[in-house]
Amino acid sequence: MRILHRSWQNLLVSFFKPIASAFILITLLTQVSLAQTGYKEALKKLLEINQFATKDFKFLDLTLKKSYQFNKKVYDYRINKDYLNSVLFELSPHLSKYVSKRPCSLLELIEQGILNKDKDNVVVLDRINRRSQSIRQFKADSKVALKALFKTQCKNIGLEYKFSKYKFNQFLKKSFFTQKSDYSSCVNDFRNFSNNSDFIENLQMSKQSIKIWSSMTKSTRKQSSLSLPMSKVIDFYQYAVNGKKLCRQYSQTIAQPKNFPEIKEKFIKPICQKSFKNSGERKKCIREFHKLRSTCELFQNASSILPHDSCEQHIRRLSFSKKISPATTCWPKIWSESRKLAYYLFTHFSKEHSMSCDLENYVAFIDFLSDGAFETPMGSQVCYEHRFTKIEHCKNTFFVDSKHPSSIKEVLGNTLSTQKIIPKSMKCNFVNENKIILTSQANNGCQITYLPALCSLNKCPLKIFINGKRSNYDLKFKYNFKFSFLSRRKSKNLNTFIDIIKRRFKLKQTFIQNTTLLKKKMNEGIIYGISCLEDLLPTKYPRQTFAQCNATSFTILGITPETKLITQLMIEDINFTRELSWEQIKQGVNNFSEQSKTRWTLYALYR
Amino acid sequence: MHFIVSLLFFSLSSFCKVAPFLPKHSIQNLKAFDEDLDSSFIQTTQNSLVFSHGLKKKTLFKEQADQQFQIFNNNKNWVLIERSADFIEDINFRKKNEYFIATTDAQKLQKIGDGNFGQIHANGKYISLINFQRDSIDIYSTFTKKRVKLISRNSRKNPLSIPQVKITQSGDIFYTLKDQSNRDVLYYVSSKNKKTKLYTTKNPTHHLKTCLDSKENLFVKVSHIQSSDKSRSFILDSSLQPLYSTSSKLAGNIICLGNKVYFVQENEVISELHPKRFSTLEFDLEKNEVLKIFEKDSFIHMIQQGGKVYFLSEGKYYKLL
Repeated sequence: MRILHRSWQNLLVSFFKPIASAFILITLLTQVSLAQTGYKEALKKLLEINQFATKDFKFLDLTLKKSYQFNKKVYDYRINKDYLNSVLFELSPHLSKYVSKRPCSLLELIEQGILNKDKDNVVVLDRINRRSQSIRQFKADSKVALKALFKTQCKNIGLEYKFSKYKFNQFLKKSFFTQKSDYSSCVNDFRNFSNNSDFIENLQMSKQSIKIWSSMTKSTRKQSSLSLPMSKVIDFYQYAVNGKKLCRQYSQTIAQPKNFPEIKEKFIKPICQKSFKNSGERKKCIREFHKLRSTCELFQNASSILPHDSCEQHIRRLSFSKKISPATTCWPKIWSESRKLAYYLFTHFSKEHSMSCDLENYVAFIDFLSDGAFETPMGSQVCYEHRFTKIEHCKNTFFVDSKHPSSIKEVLGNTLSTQKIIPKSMKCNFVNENKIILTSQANNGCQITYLPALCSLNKCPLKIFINGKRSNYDLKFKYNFKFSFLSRRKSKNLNTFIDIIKRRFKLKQTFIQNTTLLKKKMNEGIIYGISCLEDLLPTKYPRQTFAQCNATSFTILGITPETKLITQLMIEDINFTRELSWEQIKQGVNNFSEQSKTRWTLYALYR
Repeated sequence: MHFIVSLLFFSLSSFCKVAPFLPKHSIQNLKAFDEDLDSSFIQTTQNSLVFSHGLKKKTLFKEQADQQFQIFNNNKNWVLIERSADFIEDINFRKKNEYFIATTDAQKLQKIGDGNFGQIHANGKYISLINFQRDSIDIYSTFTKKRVKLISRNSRKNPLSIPQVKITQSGDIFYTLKDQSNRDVLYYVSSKNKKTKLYTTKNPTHHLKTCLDSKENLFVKVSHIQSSDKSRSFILDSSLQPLYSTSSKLAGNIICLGNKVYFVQENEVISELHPKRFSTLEFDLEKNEVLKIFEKDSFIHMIQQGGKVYFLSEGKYYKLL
């Protein structure tokens, strides 16, 4: 276990006789003596070594150069062999290999506090009187002692360089965290990695980095370039001595190693349903996420089919997905699956809007539909009877807090003022009902209140309060979700969404008839289709009648190594993917085509 | 009576109980079929709904460009017709459909209400409609056409979960809902409106399906749905004692017919012993025997029509002899 390399032994003897003898002693004790000279004595010695404590020794301050006790002319100094033995007694196999290759490394390790038995980073020294040869033990600060007494013998240590920011960044680049994927390969790679002497450097580096990090104030941490990978370093250090533990943790958390931070961020954000204000929030989200691995319950507020697949399954699928559109990170609550698919396609192909997740995206989508001659872009209208003519007037609207002329607060504000329900100068606010009650705002002006849980972009029950009183003005909301997403067989109507988006963004469309074409076109654009839910999720939605078909739209995001298609159903919220077979998709699309009497099938839309 | 019979599993394999189903009408157009009455409901290529009995035909709904019909036909008196308008133009899982009841001879046809999913019960006396917008289960009497009960689901967290509702002749109701932890809960509401919680699944990965036999005994299928879940699945009898237990998934519906209960088992290990992934099992309540009656590589849909059981797998229909 602690056998030393021969070439190293020779070198060691010339520089550090006491250290070499300590190694030899340990070697004898552990491997030879136990077998040949009686294990009781050897065991006794081992116990002594193991119980070696530094607390009984007087502290020697080596920084006091004129001190009587520290006088290089009078005394020789060496590391106490029992202390060394006790340190080496606990040496891990990794460190043993490292030390065997590099003689000065032992000193480095002690200096960095990695091998110290004591939390105070002390080393025990023998002080030998040159004249009398009497020996006395002292403890001293390890860094000071090694610098003062042994640095000349290990000139190449270069600790400042090793722990420089440059080396630290190099370490991160080389770190195996950027390479692994699953548990078994992680364990294998860890084994190879830890046999490499770099491992010890990384270990030291990690410890040093953590020290630096913990000594920083919050503001300096933010400014520091270390801030992003610091969690990795801490993980590495905590698990460095235990590859299996490390890999267990690692393989549970990481599925897409090459893009790990990016994918993880993208995936976790929508789970926590908010953007992270600081790293603390992000960490909290990740922690919650990992607590709920068996079922991805963090999605419980989302519109999804229960029970969920596990979070790990979702992460794994995302790692194989070709398409993780930014649009998916800000999925709107739209009450209609065909509009959801339309929104998905719009944000994917619209270069101006695909990179943001805010209100502008929805508004741009609504404008896009309006320009495409959809009479009711979002399917929702607010209607009122004219005060004098008694004729019903309807205006298109959608339910978000926006200054867009079709937003509910603008449409209602104008309607109420033209009907002289409110003065022209009064503006309406669109506010959460749960919050408005608690504020004095409720008693002033025009408040349109809603309950977030009941609202979508195109459907939302409302209440109107004018100067604190509930208005009984007779308004009607009409919801017409008809939306010509696709063409019927015999129809020449060009105002289907697919026709409009093809024209506007100059897109091409191809019928996907096999998996070869699917794989090819997946890299070029979006694969989408409409299918019977009973074929896609038969175990959850088994047919109860002949030729039953509940239609749902979907996109295919990628293919797993097992050739399963990673499918996003529009009835489910973002990133709630399913793994489906090509046969299931084909059967579902064919059944929808037959039931709808269209020739609609699976398509790729691309530039 | 109530003991786990998993040891008897496959004691008698019977594969001669199932035959291909080849109706005289196109299977794509056939919406309901009653072999004993020799009657069919057919959605034509022009999207009209036609009732066919021998050589006689009657159009129940005229042709319309974009409409779709589903017909629930599990008793000898009434059929429930679901009409979904704008089938293509409004692809929306939660959209509202119209529900009608018709006599099995199609002499009477009447609208009963709106909803998202419908179920007509085997006794033909009650109909339950699921209403996503109101988040309720509405129970209608097929005779008076009036809503006799409204059960608030209060489960907006899970808009896509569809409750299972079974109603007895005397108006007692069994239904399932998700609780706050997304676990399936089975409730019983007596005709005097007293509500009792009968069963709660251990965790959200388990789900419940129910059926009532001809003597109105309740049978419950409790199954896990995750492949990683190693807990057992059960068929429970009306006293909620296990009749059948397995470590495999029990996927899809459960059907009660006479003194037999049918369910589909998903075999996890594909080997020489279990060459097919899905098996339909028949539990004989009198003999306490489980028979494997049908096997396929793909999922097997079980459909109850006109007092018969049909299977659909890999695009082909089969009937239980």
